Amino acid sequence: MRRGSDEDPPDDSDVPDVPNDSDVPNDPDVPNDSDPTRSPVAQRHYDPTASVELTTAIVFTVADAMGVDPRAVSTQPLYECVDAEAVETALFTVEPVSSRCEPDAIEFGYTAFRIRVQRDGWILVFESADDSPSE
Amino acid sequence: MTGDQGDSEVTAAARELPDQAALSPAVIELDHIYEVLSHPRRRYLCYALLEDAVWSLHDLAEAVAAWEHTDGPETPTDQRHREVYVSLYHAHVPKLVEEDVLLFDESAETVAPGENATQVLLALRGISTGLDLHEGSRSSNETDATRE
Repeated sequence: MRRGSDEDPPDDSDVPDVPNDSDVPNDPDVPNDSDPTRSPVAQRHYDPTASVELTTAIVFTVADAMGVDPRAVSTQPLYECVDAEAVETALFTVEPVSSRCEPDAIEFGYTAFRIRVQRDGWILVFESADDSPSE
Repeated sequence: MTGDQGDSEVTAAARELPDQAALSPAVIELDHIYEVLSHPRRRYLCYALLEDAVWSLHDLAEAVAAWEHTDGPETPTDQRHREVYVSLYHAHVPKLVEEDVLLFDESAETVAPGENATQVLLALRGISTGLDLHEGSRSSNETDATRE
């Protein structure tokens, strides 16, 4: 799928046409995760105006990280970890309400991953720092 | 002591549950019905239940993808199926399971109507009839369009 270049590239206007495939481990043009000590294992750009749901975009990014078909991401429904419709509302509501009370990103754990969804549309998947099974 | 007695009377009254028949129309609140039906994919899911009681998730994704497939054929079928399958498995099916509208058999990957399915389907039927919702009369609309 092609990213529409008419979509506002978040803040920095020089975001080029972004590749959406998994072989872009850590593109400098891409997201600005505030924590420089970690780098995403997969990332995709989500377009809230396109027909693909946020849930689907997140799971596809996880599938990239795992190197599998998205239908094989079946350990646990994402819904059990996060209500993606609520994330969608919190980050991508259409009306530009005063931005100070809105989050820039929402992060949550899903299986062995940490997932960060940013207001600029980037979905970043990290290896979970504490994914050791020991409690 | 008297206070205790009063309390226990209240408790007893509170514990007196309405019988099943009286309860059934309100098993699921209206809010829940709206919530369930607020997403087009969940409406398609419910429509599917009207056609058949038990679906494999794979077939369900195929059916929903086909129903949604009203715009041009630019997206390959497999890509469409992948998207719908993922959104059903990860979002809409678990949500409907939570609302007791669906039962999901994890190992067989099949869905079947849950306790609240009847009520939601009745609401959906009512809405469809009332509005002649295009989702409910897809095929006749298509026929009309072909004729015109």
